Amino acid sequence: MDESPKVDDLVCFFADTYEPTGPFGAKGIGEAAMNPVAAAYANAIQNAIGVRFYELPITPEKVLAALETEGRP
Amino acid sequence: MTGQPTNTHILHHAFDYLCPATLADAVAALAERGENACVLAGGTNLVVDMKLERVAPEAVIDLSGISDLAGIREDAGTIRIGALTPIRALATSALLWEKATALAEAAAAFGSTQIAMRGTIGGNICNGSPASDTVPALLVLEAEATLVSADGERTVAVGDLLKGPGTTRVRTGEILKEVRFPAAGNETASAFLKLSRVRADLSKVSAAVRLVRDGDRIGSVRIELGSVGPTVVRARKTEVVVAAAEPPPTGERQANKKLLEAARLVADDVEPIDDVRSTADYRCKAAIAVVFDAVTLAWTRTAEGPPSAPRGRSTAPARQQPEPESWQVAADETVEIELRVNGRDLVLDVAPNELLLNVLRERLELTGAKYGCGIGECGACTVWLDGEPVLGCLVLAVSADGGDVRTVEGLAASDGTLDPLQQAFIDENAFQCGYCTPGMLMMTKKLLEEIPDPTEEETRDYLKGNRCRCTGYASIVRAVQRTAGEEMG
Repeated sequence: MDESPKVDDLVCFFADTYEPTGPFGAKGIGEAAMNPVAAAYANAIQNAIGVRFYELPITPEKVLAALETEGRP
Repeated sequence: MTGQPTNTHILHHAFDYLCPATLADAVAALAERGENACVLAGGTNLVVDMKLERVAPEAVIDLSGISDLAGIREDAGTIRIGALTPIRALATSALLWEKATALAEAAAAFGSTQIAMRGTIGGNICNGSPASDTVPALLVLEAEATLVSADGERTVAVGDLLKGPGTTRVRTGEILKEVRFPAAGNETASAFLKLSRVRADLSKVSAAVRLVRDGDRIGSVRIELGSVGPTVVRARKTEVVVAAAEPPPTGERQANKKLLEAARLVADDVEPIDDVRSTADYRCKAAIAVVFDAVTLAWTRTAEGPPSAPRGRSTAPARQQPEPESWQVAADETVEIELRVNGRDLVLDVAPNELLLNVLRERLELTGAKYGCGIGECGACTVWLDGEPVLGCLVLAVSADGGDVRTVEGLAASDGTLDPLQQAFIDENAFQCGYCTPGMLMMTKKLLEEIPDPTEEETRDYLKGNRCRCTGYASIVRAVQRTAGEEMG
């Protein structure tokens, strides 16, 4: 399985915004790093079985149901 | 009966606590208290159920002071297991891996390490859960149970005790004393497989299989399924077809259509439900795959022999009571208990419904062990009692009387020098918020005692009941391996 060190170089840009719920318009950063993980999993599953999921969690129950809808065992 | 009280920090319900020293005294106490009493074995179900207000017994009869109710032994071809034997003792028993593989395998797949250390085989049977891991295994092994009451003893098939979710045919006044079953012969093999969301969780579906080989054919087979009906259920139709089919080769499902067709018949025997862990539809289909794999695995083992026991050991010592006499304390009273905590001898006054965790944190100001979930699912409250990790949130302080407690505060040397494991946690940044760290330390300290050079897999399996919600487990595994490497030289 590919892990973080194998990812290409990333380039960061700063987008100046104002987050109204944060102090002085600040935005929390911890959770932001979590967001792409779910998308990465969804992409991996799409790549593996050809079904795209738009909701979390992607449980074995949902995967099996989706495979059956697609007409596979 | 709210199911989810807002606070599991304390045990609200008050009860009389009885600690009989002998089985005869326990039976007499139960006869006197009748339906108003609950029997306490490991407490991993009963204490949770009392906290969640599912049960409210007037009296709790603690069996942990009865020394001769635990143990595994083979006696003229029969394996006998005392009702108080901890699940982890089953999971680490070389005898069971060799001669009752399905039961050892079920015990190894059971909940978290701490729950398996504290929970008992008797408790697992008497809890009446259709998701029990040991019951399907005991059924394929054709186990019998001996129950004791004031009227004497009776022995019944374990299957005859099944009734429905959360209930059994154990009669009021009866205490389960022992289970026993024939040791597997050379032509016999068994297997247990389960599917669950995460390792420490209850099963979505499980299957135990015992198979007797007759030359190149299957002589007979028994298949029992967990979590797909109101009780553990037997896959009778599948059994008939599997026994008549050609022997299952190892490997691909599609290459063995006959066995797959036989496995599909489980749909006729199961009645699964939708719940928080899975759906009825998924359980029904997954049961087919689990049965196929378990039959194949058992067949393979008839030729190759059983797998060897995993590394690690159960050290649960039979606890010596300070005075081996029966005693009790009323719900509205307190009692003096003796505790050795991190090497200090203490005498404490406690009420029956006080929890070990709260005594440590609030009365002794040992706030290292944390209150997390309060129902034994997160591991943050892990401390050692008599050398074994326990979940402090589920242990009655009264039942720890005479015990030797070690907390995270007791890891460092008296001059403040950190334990090498603590230092490794720092060096590897194996924590962020630190809430889970005391529990992680007490577990990994014990792991290194059991297995001086644990693999990553062994470490992760051992920690399956300890939740970290920020750093993740990779750095914790590295800290364990760093300590192991240093200590091994």
